[in-house]
Amino acid sequence: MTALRFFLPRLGAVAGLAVGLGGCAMLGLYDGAPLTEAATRQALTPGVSTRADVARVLGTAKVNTFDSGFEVWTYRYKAGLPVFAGYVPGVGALASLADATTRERELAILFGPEGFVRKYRLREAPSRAERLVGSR
Amino acid sequence: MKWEELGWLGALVACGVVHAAAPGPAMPVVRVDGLTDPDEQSYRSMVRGMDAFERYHGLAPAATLRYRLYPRQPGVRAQGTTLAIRGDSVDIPVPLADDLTFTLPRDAKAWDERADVVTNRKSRSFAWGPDVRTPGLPPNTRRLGDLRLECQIDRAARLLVGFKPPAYLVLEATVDVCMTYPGAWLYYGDRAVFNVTLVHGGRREPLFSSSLYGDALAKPFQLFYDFYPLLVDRTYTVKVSDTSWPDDTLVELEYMDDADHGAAAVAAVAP
Repeated sequence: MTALRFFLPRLGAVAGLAVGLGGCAMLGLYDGAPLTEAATRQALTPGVSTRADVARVLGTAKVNTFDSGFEVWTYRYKAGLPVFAGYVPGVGALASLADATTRERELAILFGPEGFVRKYRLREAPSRAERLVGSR
Repeated sequence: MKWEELGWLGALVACGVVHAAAPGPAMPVVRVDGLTDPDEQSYRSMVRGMDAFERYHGLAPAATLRYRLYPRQPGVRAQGTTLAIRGDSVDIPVPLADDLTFTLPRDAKAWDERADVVTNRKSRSFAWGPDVRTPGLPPNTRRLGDLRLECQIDRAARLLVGFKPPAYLVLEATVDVCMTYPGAWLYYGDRAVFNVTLVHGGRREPLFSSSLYGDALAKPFQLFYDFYPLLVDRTYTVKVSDTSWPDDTLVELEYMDDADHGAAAVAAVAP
């Protein structure tokens, strides 16, 4: 009983912290800034937006540079609880559930050799749960 | 060089010419093709690929098979490239189309002589691959069954050059890696690709960046692959073993130099 009294408040605090941080992640903050309609409109005007414009609004991207001068910038987003939450007792199951039911998104931006945005695509993959249901 | 030395050199050359002109008894024929280390493939391997095309034709019943060369090194001139089947006595020219595709005849003598399919470009100039195309597809699309068939041909002909760990080789020797291997198979777009989407009925699923440009491989390993360095921007990988996608699935390829038709889509789905 004493042990319970000792662990429960601490477990609650850890869980609260994890959920709190998870709340941030729910915005989609994994690799870059949150992806919002306003952000994409502001940063992604083909023929106008530059690499600096995109970096300022969306943050650091994964960059593929090609000999042709084209560049593809990629931002990955996955709403859900932070990875470490899966290791927190009591929160792990919740984190796993969140991970299994959330879709993964990726914003890919193509820059032409002149340095302006040419076009962009938002890629979305079904969640693991959706794949499981879909495969039946 | 002094005149005296030049004279001796002239005499030696003259002797050589006279000697070469004199007919000798049954001298072995030495063919000089201009390249000591040409880009070539085993004719037998490529015929095995043609056998695989027949064996797995059900994946793409209306498709035809051609092989294709993809220049993979800077400076390799596609124009002027020639191709021939060469053995000890066999020398069969192979017509090469403008897109560097070709077909091979079945020739018993070339098989017996373990001939090679030889280019007039130096070794590792090209990536070699099967090109299976079902006619009548929409522009800029491939058919998944065609890609699966290419995988089987590649597997039989061993054209794909890349890093193959021992575990893969064991698997390859024991099972159908195209349909059981959890990894993905490499393909090249006609030009630099920006977006690749699998489409079947109402189901659409884009490939993520990890399936483009060889990104699934660590940089040092990319050096072992044919797509490096020139084909990187044309490379995409498809997990052809995923049977939730039927053979009739279309693989839509959007190229970097295509006009932009879908920018508004992001705003529509962004939260």
